[in-house]
Amino acid sequence: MRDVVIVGADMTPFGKHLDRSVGALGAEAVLGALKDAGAERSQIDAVYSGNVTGGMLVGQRAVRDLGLGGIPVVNIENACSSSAAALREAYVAVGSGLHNTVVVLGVEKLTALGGGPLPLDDADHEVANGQMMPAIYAMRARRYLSEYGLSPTDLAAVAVKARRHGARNPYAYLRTETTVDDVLASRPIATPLTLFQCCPSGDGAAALVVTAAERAPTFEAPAVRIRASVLHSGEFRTGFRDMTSPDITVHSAQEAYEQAGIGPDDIDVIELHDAFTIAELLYYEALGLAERGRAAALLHSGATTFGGSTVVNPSGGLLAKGHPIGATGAAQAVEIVWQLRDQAEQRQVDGARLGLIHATGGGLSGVDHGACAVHILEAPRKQVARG
Amino acid sequence: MHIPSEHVDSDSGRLLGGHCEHCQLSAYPAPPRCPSCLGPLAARPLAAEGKLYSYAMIHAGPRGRRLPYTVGYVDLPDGTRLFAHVAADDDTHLRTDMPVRLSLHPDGSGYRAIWTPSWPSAPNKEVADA
Repeated sequence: MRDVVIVGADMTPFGKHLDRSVGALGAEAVLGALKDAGAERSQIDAVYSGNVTGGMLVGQRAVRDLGLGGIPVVNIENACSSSAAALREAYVAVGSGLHNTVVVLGVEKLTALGGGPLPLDDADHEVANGQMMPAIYAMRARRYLSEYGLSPTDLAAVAVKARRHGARNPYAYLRTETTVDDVLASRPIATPLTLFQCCPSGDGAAALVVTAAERAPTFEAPAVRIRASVLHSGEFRTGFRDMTSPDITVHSAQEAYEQAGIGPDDIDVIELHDAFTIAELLYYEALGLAERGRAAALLHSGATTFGGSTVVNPSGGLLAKGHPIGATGAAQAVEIVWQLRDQAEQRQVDGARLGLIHATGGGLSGVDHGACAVHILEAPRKQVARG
Repeated sequence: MHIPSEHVDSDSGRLLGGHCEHCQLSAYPAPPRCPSCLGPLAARPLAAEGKLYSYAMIHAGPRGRRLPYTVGYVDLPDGTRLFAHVAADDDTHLRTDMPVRLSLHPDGSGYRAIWTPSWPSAPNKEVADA
């Protein structure tokens, strides 16, 4: 595999885009990423598009009006990891030499569904009997709190941090801060999780331009290198499963660290999949930032907010930035690219050199999650001026 | 939770799971084949008592369901884990690892299955922590 870099990144703000089609949202993000890279359309060999609920040909609907045609446009559905899986396909295609420069798109318009929990496959035994994503995370939370003697206050602190970060991010859906009391007083969804502990869904799009390292000088933006790109599916188990240790994330992260030849201590900034408050705590441990049972202590120490050793979700994460599911992985990558180029403005993590992206999800009985993608990105050798 | 009548052993009144002799693996509902060796599974009655691994009371759920309702995972002595509906008007009476027992009530063409804490009222702290 040859070295692969990201030379273009852009996204729409996340939130409600009631008057815009999924194609229009996708086109805006792709155009932004092409401009950021200074890429000509003739340089684009393929498009990898992640989406879940938009129906047929979402990628084509996004790029048709941009005059991108006559090339492979591949539509990828992998639940909450859809556009992270698209980034991995781009990495494989460019790294292998099949293509030189490709576009990654993630786009979703969840307001079209009318709100509420995500509809899952009702042929699944658990789903047919009332299972839903908030309940899965609530059961993880219940077990985790009971095993380690923690309280819902510890969960609420995750939402408070996320919203504090999101308040600094003009691309975030929720841009107001909140308090532990307000989080706990928001209406119950699946106990112990309350509304403010569940990510808002919304609409949005994010796009990247991915190319071979040797071609990076062709483009205007500084090149962020992909040091690791890992995608796993969940492993089926019919018996006991430790719901406090998400094996799909543990295994994906281990492989990513091995690929990059680094460890968790080397990472400066992380965008992880905090679909619900408990998720952030479990993923601190699964990604190796904290020992088992020590995630809440890590959070309370301030190590994962601005000024800490590993800033987690400077964008506000899914809990504040929002979670238009197909767009999430690409948007996490856009945030980390901006962080590594020192362009994240009031939410910039000082001196960030290595960033990790983690997107996982999909409700399927018998597996921890349907899919998980972990990427590790490295800052350009020369920092550019703050944008 | 609705259980089709073919998932219940008429002699014992217990749920029927799938069991692989070769891998010593049990599952409910029985998958079409053993996920480990891809061999056939034999029907086997499952224990009607287990431990509540975790639970959640759902207050905002899929359309068409009466709210709230409580779901959980029950671990049986043979290692099988079941997705379960748990009898609870108030989930503050529930604890992780508490013993629960299955009751099946005739319901149309099958049964309604619900797991009930084995003690009749709220457990005292000592029992809950045991």
